Amino acid sequence: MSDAHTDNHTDDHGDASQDTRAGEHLVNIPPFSPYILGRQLWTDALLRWGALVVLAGALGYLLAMEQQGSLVYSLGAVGLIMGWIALGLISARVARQLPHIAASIEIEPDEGEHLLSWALKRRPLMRWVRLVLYHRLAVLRHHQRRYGEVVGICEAVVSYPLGPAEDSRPSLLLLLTETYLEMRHLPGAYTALLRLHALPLSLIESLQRLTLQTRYEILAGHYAAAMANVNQKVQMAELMPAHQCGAMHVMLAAAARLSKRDDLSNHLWQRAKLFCTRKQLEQVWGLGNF
Amino acid sequence: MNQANKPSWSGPTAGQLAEHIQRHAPRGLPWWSTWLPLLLLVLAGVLAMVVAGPWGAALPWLLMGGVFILLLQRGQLARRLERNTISLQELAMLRNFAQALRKSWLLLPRLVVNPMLHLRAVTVIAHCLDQLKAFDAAIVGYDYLVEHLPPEHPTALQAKAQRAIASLCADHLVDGDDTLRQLRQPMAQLADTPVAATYRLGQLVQNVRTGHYTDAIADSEQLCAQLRPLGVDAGYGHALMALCYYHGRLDDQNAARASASRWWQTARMLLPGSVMVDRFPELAVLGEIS
Repeated sequence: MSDAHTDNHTDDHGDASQDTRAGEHLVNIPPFSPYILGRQLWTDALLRWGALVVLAGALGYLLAMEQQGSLVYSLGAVGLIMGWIALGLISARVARQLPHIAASIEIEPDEGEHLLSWALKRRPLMRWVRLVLYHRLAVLRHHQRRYGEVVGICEAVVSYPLGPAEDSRPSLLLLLTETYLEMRHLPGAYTALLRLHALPLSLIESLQRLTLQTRYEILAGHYAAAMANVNQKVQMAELMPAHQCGAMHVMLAAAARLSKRDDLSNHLWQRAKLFCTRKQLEQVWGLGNF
Repeated sequence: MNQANKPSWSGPTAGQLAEHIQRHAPRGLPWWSTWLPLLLLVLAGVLAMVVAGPWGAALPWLLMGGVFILLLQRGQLARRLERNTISLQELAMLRNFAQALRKSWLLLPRLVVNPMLHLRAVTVIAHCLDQLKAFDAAIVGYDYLVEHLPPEHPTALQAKAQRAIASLCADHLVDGDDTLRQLRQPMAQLADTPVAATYRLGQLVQNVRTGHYTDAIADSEQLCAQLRPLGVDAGYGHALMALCYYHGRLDDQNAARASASRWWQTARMLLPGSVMVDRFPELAVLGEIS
């Protein structure tokens, strides 16, 4: 698979939003390859540390030549410092665009993809910045229902240490779990859920995991597990936004019906109708779309 | 601890909250703190040029090391403050309002360096005060949010809608009416959102507090759908509509009582009766019809 990221020699000056305002054709990112990601990370590391080694080596040479008090040595030291700052500024500039990229993906996916394409072409990037960019790409692909690619991206990204972006790991695993469930790939969903259970989660992440786990249990036919601690699950569901609360009630109602607990099922279904519109209920229930 | 020994809760007054927010107003990082890393690096460069001997070689590197440690600590502090703010929001979500209020009160002085986190903490404070029925102090918090957010921002509109409800609950009927009037136009664009649902609840509270029961009944057809985005909190709206049918002077009192009973039963599917009566004491009369 060709590395389209290095084939495109676009103008590096100006940020991505200026490129878009100039009316440039929106760029699509080619399909994901873990090999390309690994190569990009390796190239970033080589550029960053290689530059540092070269500059430090030059300074070491000057020291060895007993030039430590000379102007050349001083300028070399300053150059090393400024060079290291310049390398970091590239990552800082991209990191500043991350919220804008995330918002664009939600509102205008094509624009979001173009911004991502711009960001991914920058070099060298810090490892965590590039991995977060791929996280955003996974979200974009999920919106585009390219689930195979989402799985590839998430599995690849979580295999690396995320450094300062370690807090993103639960979000990646939640996305991975949901994608496996959309694909009806239950073993993958199970593995991803196991990994989630090993991580400390925030309240909102815990609620999302609960929803995905309930969905998995129903798809896998584990109705008893879905019904375990149902009162507590209902209380947790009440903390979710209305639509998700309703979806959770629909799933629990289905599990209750399949567990021959019709009274509970009716009660949960009546509650679900108070949280969801008819259309939302049909989306969750009528198609068996758990 | 029995009821006799339980200390009575005395939250902050409106004046105390105003003073606390003013004393700990957000100011971001001081200018010298923002420029400190760059200044130290420039100093390192200058030292490399002017200081001779082994100190001239070593000092710049020590300074660079110091800058890296400073940036690392600053990043860790920012992440710690973010985590602490998230934990406040989680406590409020779990309805531990007193604890969330206390922690956010204590955390606010440390959040002056981050205006966004500061706003989130004030949001938690205002919400908790509202739920703990310290309405005058809650209004101070909501006013702060409205002043410091863009006028059309969803959080600002939500704060305004909740401010209206708090004003009505505190018997500031004119104030509440004014706030609801200001929200009429923006709400037209926000149908089916939690903000619009909060506004609708505010209108219902206004109808009840001003005794306009028949007006509320006349608008009741879409109420269920309008309150749906509130999730379980829609129960308050259903209960207030039950109260309107209970008190409303309608031609067919038997049908009115039946409607009141239906709305009250729906409300109790969402929230316990005691919780709703605690929030709106006038609902206590509905205990007769259940």
